[in-house]
Amino acid sequence: MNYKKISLLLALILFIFVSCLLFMFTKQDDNINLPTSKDLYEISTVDTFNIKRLLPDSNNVDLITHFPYRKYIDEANYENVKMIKRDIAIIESASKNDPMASQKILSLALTDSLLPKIKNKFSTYQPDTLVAFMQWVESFKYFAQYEEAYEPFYSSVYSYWVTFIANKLDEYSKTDANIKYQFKYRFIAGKCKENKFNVSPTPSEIEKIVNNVVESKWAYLYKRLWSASLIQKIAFLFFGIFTITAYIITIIFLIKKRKK
Amino acid sequence: MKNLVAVFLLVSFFNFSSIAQYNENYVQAKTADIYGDEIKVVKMNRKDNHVKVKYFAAKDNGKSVYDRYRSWSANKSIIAYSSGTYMDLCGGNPLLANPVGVCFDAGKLVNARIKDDMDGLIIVYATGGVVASNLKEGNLSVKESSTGKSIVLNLRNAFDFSTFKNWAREEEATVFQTHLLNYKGVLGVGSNGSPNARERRFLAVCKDEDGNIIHCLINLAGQNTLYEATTKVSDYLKKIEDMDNIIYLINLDTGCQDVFQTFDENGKYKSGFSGTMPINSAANLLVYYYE
Repeated sequence: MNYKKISLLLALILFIFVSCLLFMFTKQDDNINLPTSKDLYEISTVDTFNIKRLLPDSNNVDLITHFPYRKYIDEANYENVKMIKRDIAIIESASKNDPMASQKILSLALTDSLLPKIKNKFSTYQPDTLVAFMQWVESFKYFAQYEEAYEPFYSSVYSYWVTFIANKLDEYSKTDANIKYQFKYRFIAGKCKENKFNVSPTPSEIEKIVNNVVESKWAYLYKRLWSASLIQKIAFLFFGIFTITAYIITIIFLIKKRKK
Repeated sequence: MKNLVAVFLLVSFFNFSSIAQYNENYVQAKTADIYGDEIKVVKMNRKDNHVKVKYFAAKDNGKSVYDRYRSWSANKSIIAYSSGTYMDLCGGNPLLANPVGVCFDAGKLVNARIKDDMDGLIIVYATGGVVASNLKEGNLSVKESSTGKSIVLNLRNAFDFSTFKNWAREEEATVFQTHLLNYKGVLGVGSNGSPNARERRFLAVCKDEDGNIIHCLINLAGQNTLYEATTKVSDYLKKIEDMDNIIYLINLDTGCQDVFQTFDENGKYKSGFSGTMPINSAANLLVYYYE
């Protein structure tokens, strides 16, 4: 086999390899329609819940410790963020000793107490659920901007749930490294990043090698080769053989050309 | 005239070679052997507040960490620098990488996302001091400079974390998160941890027998799991360096950005005390300097 045939064979292998990589990195879901909260669940604007029922009659009770958080989560219409504002004002009037108590109570209720109720919805990657949830979470950010007096409360709830979403995105990418190329994943990750909640999806083993090759981190690659997994070793070997063979063929070609 | 020039050159040469970057009483760089592993240790005494810390948490307005370091270090006596906490986009362009875990750079928010699996929260003060807190304990104490009031915060609580973010902004604090491997003498990593063996680098802050606060940058070139390296280094600090107690031991990134360099007392690169990557590949940088 002469060097032209070897070159063609190598070019073919490279083409297949790069095509596989491109397919892997650009595989997207066809569904790019973003849902709204209304598509997924009905937000009630009729409110029959009265938080006063949950407050003790006496003013001497430490409200932060004794507030019935679970009951609030089960009964209140917290999906409608406007209703929460009314609840803060009511608790505030009942806890005059600590002006921040109302904000601390509702922050705890809508974060740590709400988590057990809704976390199962996010056990697997369901992009529409995540998008709709992000819309609810983002409303806290907007309220934080306009309700200065209650900014700590709104910010705390917003920050808690965006962190939760960012953690989930990382978790999903560990199970399937390719979902990070999907439109909705990137949309939600972009929302997180826009507000400085960095999402760090786990790169696949091949991606790590490609990144390091692109950045020409040869010394690092060489060092890591010895403790790399089998697939990483094969990928690295492929790059190595391809590069060396390409150089050898080029040199042979140049020598032959000069001789002619 | 010739004599004058010769004297001038001689004086210049003498001055250049004799100006020390730092006092050796406060800084020692040494090589030691522990359980068959060669380790490099940069031991710095914080007594009299000569040894200080600066942390570049991230790029700033498109200016890389390396560029920021270069402008800042122009008139500084650098003892050593090392990559700090972990970054994302491992193996990618450091200009695009972001730190993993909550991070502020001189009050500027870099990453608001607190990582649940990293217990160490490190605060680097503008004065050159550095403290660590165990997030598991939930008792981070910070002081408001405007009121002088101390507040105790549990950063796992959403409301307290919101308060902390406002504090960091107002105090222009530099904050980052990492794995806390030893805190007040208690190991934070178990033998059932990651089996991944690799080179390791730590920052240890200890108290010596005289009550001085000692900072050590420790580099293990051999292949160790996090648990093995932590136990070896903890043993070394207690048994060989005779440290009274280890206040905290944190992990520094040697994976995506293995940047490390130590300078000798004349400001020259100290041979053997370096990482595998150049400083311009750093996505963040922990710098020790002498003042």
